[in-house]
This record gives sequence, structure tokens and C-alpha cells, in this order.
Amino acid sequence: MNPIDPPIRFTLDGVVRGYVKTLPVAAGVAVFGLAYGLLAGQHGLSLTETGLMSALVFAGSSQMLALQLWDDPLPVAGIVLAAVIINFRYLIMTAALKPWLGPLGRVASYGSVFFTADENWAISIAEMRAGGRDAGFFAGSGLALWSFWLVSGLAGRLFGSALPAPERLGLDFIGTAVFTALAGRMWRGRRDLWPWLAAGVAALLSSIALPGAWYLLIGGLTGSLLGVWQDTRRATREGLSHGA
Amino acid sequence: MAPDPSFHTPTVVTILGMAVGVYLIRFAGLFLARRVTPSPTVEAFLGHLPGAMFTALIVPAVVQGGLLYIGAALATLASVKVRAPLVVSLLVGVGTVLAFRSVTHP
Repeated sequence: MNPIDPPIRFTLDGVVRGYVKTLPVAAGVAVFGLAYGLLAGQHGLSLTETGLMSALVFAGSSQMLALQLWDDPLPVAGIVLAAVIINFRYLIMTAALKPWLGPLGRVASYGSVFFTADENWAISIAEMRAGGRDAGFFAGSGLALWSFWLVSGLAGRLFGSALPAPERLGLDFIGTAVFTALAGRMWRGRRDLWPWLAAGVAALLSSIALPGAWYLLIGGLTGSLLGVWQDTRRATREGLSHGA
Repeated sequence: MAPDPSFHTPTVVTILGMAVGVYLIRFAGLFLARRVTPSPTVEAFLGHLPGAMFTALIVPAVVQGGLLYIGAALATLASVKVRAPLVVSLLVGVGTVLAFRSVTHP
């Protein structure tokens, strides 16, 4: 670390600045929150349960995924496992925040990581790379997303029961639309082609052959492992050509 | 605690399980980063995981929905390709489904 950089701080000022800077993005996420609330209603969650999930889990993809897998009787373990697996990316994301959160005390750092979500993480990383030294920014940014996420989810749950059948409004597709749009944004170029194809084919075949949500695990693992194998092979080949 | 009609025990257990599980990942990332550097293989695996999981989730649902869903998913992807905001992409996807339906079942 550069010795002339001022030390990392955590101030209320930083929290406020992070909150304000994230407002436009949070407003966009609120639409996703409405969709979540709607779906939660369709799957029979009460208003309290809908809000509780948003407040405590605070992970859009996990929550949508959970609803997608919602069934009677409730596959509790399968949903929890899937929610955790789909958010494994948070592991690398909070690791990347080490320059900001590492120097903080336990309460501030492990409290802040609760607010890790794709959008506020991206905004905060940008601020950090631009030389920001106030780690309060991340907590504020997360708080903006969290408050909008909670309120919009509740609004979607309340408003949803007043709407006609989901098919009439095309809303049966909204869960798939969210994941398709998020996946499109995750596309990192050609290196993702084979892993994604493998994931899709493996998931399709296992969804036909196996019960429950196994297709998700099998597809996800197949694609990721193929990706690792592909990356390793490429690295080895490059290593050889450089070494020669 | 008195029974509350707005709480269904399996639902609350699921929500708490998700909350604890997802928080532990957020916690573990920083916790481990303070101690070790991940191997390139682990990093590559974690990098591939979200995309593969999302594809695994989408493909069976889209195939089951038939041509209608396939068309709507492609339209959604096209909107991402032109860098539309998330909201617009959702509108495109849902709008495509609606448009198809209004043609086939007016």
C-alpha cells in the first residue's frame, strides 16, 4: 500500500455519500423488488414473510431462485443449499473489498459485508479504485439498496394480489427474464461459451431425469468444472509457449 | 410465542437458513482474504459458478415454456447486448410474451 495514502476511515459522512450515490441504481433495483414481491405472493408467502426474507437474506438472485423452487411440501434443505450456491460469488466479492474492510474493526467490517450485493459492490469497488478512503461508503451504498429492496418487495406483495392472473400480464415469465438479463450481464466473452452450453445441456437432461432442484447443482457444477479445466489447459499452453 | 397466521414454520425456517447461509459466504470471503490468497483454480471455479448456475436455471425453464419462452429469452438477451438497463430488459422479456400471446390468443 502506498505510504502517503491517508488511512482508511469509516465515517457517517462516507455512509451518507455512499447512500446518495447509489440512489439511482437502487431505484432500478426496486423494479426487480416489485417482481420479487409479486412472485412471493404467487407462491403464498405472507407480507411479513416476504419482508423478512428481503430484510435478512438481501440477495435478489437467491430469493428469486428460492421462489422458483418453492413447492408443497417445502424443500427446505434444497432451497437453502441452492441459495447458498448461487451466491458463492459473494465470496470473491467480499474478498475484493479487503483494502477497505480489512483495516476496520470486527463490527464495522463484518457488519458491512452483510450488505454485499452485485450493484452496490460494483459502485463501491469503483469508488475504492478511484482512491476513496472512506469505507463507510460501502455500508451506505448497501443501505440504499437494502432499503429500496425491502420496501419494493413489500409493495410488490401488496400490489400483486390486486392484479389479474400472472399470465394475463406476461408475469409468469418475469423470474426467467430476471435471470436471463442477469446472465447476459455476466457474459465475459468466448471463454464462457462452452461452460454455459455444458451447464445448460446438463441441467436440461437432469431436469428430465431427476426430481427436485438437482438439475441446478448438476448444471452449475458441470459448467464451472468445464470452465476450470478449460482455463487451466489454456494457462498451461500459454505457460509452455512462454517458457520455450 | 403465540402462533401468528402470517408465519408458516417451514417458511420461516427456510428464510432463516437462507439468511445464515448467504451471510456466512459474505463473511467467509473477507475472513479468508484476511488470511490466505485463493489458488488460481479456486478463483477460476468461483468465477465460472454464477454464469453456469444461471444458465442451468434458465435453460430447462425456457425449453419447457416452448417457442414462446425461447423467443422472449432471446429478446431479453438482445436488450442486454445493446446495454439496456435491467428494467428495460425485464419489460422486453415480459412484453415479448404478451405480444406473442395477443397474436396467438387474441
